[in-house]
Amino acid sequence: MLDLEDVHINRGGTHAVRGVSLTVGRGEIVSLIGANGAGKTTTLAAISGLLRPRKGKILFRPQENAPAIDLTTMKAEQIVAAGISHCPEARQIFGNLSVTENLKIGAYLRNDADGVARDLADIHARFPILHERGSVPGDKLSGGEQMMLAIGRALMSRPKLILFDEPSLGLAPILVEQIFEILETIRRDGVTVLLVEQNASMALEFSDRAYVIEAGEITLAGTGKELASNSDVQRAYLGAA
Amino acid sequence: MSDRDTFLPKFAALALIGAGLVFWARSVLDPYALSIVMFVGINVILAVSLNISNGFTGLFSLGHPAFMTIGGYMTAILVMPAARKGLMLPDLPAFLAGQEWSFLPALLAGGSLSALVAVIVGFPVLRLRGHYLAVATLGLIFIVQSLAVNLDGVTRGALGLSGLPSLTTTWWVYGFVLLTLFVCWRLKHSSLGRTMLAIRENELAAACLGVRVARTRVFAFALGAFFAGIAGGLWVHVVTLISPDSFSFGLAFQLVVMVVVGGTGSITGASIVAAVLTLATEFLKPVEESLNLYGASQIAIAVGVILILIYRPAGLFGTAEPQPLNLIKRLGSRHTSPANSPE
Repeated sequence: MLDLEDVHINRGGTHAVRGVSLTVGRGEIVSLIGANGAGKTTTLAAISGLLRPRKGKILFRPQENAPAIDLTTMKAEQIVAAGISHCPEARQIFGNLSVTENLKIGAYLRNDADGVARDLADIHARFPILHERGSVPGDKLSGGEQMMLAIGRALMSRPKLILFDEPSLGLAPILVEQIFEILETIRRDGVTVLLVEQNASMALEFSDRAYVIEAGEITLAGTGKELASNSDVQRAYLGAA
Repeated sequence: MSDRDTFLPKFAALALIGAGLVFWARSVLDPYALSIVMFVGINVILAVSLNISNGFTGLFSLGHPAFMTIGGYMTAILVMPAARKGLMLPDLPAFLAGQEWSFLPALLAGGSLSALVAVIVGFPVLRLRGHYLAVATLGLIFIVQSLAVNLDGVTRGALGLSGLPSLTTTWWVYGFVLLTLFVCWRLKHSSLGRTMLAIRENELAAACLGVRVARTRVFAFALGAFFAGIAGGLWVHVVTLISPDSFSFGLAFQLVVMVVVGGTGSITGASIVAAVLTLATEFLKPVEESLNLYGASQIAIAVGVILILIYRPAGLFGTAEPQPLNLIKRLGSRHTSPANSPE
């Protein structure tokens, strides 16, 4: 459903991503793991249109048999409308707006008020805490609640693919586990997930497939299990001796 | 959603009460007091419309006086009798020289020209953030002023246009106050208004969710400029005079004070503070004179602003709109679930 072909991206004057190619299949959870500064966030920003690659193609197929569209020339709002939602690093909650307002902004591009109301109810059912704390300002939520809010907000545009940038960042281990279980339920509901993580062990455990990115290049690819048992990956990312 | 259903009747009721007050004021007050009432209204228009860019969208603009100048000149030229134009502005381009518009379309034209300028200026200038944006919009005031001085075929240069008809009445001002409040209130509680707040809170997240950031910022800037242009047109037809330095940096400062003190994003706060500050400056004038302490009121206001910024940095009302009715209700039945209460 998503294909990156030889994508090069400059960011802040450096050639941050150097020829990344990767594929995300419909219904998969795919993760991109790597160290700080390897180009993970930059890759996601290019997919969602926040950055423009200097070379390469990003092809997205919203429906099974639909023609693929090239995202590299599209604006961020067109990409959201096409069915890709980006849940950015560090959650980026609108701190002074209420929880409900945060969620409603997620549906900004939609015109079907009934559908939006239904999806809001779905998200409230999925995360009851967001209903309970509906009128509380976003920055009064705990880290884990904010993450749920960020996920709920990303779901409000009714995406076909969600990009998650470090959902585990700054959360207690027990919450990290919970967040990954939420990703699993999202996938079960038919939304494809592409995830960027530094917490490699958790990401590999929950992913169907994964890519390892180092200094802007993909160095390894495989199923989550394969990579988790790869000795290089174990040494570099999983803390094995 | 109950907010939306009860808004129109509430607004209509308040508008009627206001109309009653205006009617009463017109029958009791002398012309000098009425002109103060008009300035209160005009300042409410200015503060509430500046709140669209500075409060909702988080664009710290100082550009309102520039748009008032544009709207003021445009309105004044359009309504000026053709014969007088021949005397005062002999070099006026032919397509303007023959125009003799009535007040309402001329005001709207002045507002529209201001909005148009805001759009043109907005696309480059709104790429700037924070202090840089403030400085750029400050520059806009001086650019417009020097244009007004030098385009003397249209503006009569530094002399300005004097002896304008005093067309502005309390009813005109009141009508536009209502329009400004109505538009801003609906805007704030609409999906578009929410995206403005979202841009203010977190531009990155807003862009991730598909908000058209650049376009929304320019729209907010231009809508504010529209009302500033109208307020300029109303103002010059109270004082019957417009010159290049009618609206200058000092005014921008006062307006920003109203928004900051009232609460960035609060329509109620900006209106109340605009009214109170206008009245206070007016009533403190005789006090200053009798005490021979000229400028004391400005110092007092400035100190007040500093204190508010220290102790209540979000302003008196923050982004909230206090709802006296709901407060009473909430006190009556303590157990209302927070999710149901309208914001």
